[in-house]
Amino acid sequence: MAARSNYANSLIREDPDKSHILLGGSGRPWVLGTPYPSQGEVERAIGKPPLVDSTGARICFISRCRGLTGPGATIDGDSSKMLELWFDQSDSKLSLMTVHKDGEETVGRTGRDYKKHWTYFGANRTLVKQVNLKRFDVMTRPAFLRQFGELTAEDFIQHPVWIAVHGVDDQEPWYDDERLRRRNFSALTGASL
Amino acid sequence: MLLVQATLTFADGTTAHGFITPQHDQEPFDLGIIQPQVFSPTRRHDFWDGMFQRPGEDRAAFYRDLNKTASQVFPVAFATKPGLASGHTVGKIEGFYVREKRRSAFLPIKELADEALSGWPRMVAFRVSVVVHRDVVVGLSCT
Repeated sequence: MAARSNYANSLIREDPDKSHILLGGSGRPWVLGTPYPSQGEVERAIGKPPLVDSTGARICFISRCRGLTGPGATIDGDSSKMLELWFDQSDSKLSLMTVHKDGEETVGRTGRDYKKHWTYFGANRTLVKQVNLKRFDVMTRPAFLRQFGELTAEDFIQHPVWIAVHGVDDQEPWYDDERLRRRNFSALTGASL
Repeated sequence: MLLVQATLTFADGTTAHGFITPQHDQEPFDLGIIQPQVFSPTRRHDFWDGMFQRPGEDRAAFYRDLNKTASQVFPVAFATKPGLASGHTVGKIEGFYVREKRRSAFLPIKELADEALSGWPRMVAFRVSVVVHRDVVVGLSCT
């Protein structure tokens, strides 16, 4: 990793734990322990208030971080410009990430299969890192599922036994989403116990 | 993989909610499989450091979060409610566990008792490494 982070790779990092989203830079990543952070969680993590657009939809713009250099060059010569996080107004959860790049319209997508890899280079054209944006896909999941890191004491009081859904709920309609198979648990209730 | 509600009892007799993964009782008792976890009022904690021991400040944060000293926490006894699960569902946690480098076994990192720290203000833990070759101890080090 280059000592001087560029703006783009400072905004997005991959964490070994795929259930995390990390935003931030200069060695101070903001860790969001869930792929579905609420707007409040993001605001608390980054310490900045949101902007509200003219339509009333609440949009959180994350502008340039203090202490970081300007936009960095990407493999295709563009530079990143701004990152926006959009939050669903019904449950305030993160629903869309949009990255604007110079010379382009919005490249973010709302589809479930949104995957885009950008490779950023440092000033001497050495590879800094590859950034994988797929963690910001729009995702929905059943309310009875919990990611491992989300389980609380209250969950275990309500349901004393939880089972990993991988290999168990294969026939469920939501199971076709590969991301929901990993590290998700559903409660065992009634006759299942 | 199952996660089953458990009650954890600290050395000072207080209890907390948590959970474990029951292990088949045909297998040797292995905390690496059972992986007990405990809920504090603010978050969830585990006792498993894997290959790399958690930093001292993280251990200090753990004790702060529980508002206890090391000697008030360890050993921790855990048990599930009867009837919730079969297999190994009861056990004891001696400390934070790390994978021993040369063997597959896991060893607890013992926290020194508070009173033992009086002459060692910087030392809060020690680790014993045992080198075993053909069931004979050939090396022993303490760091």
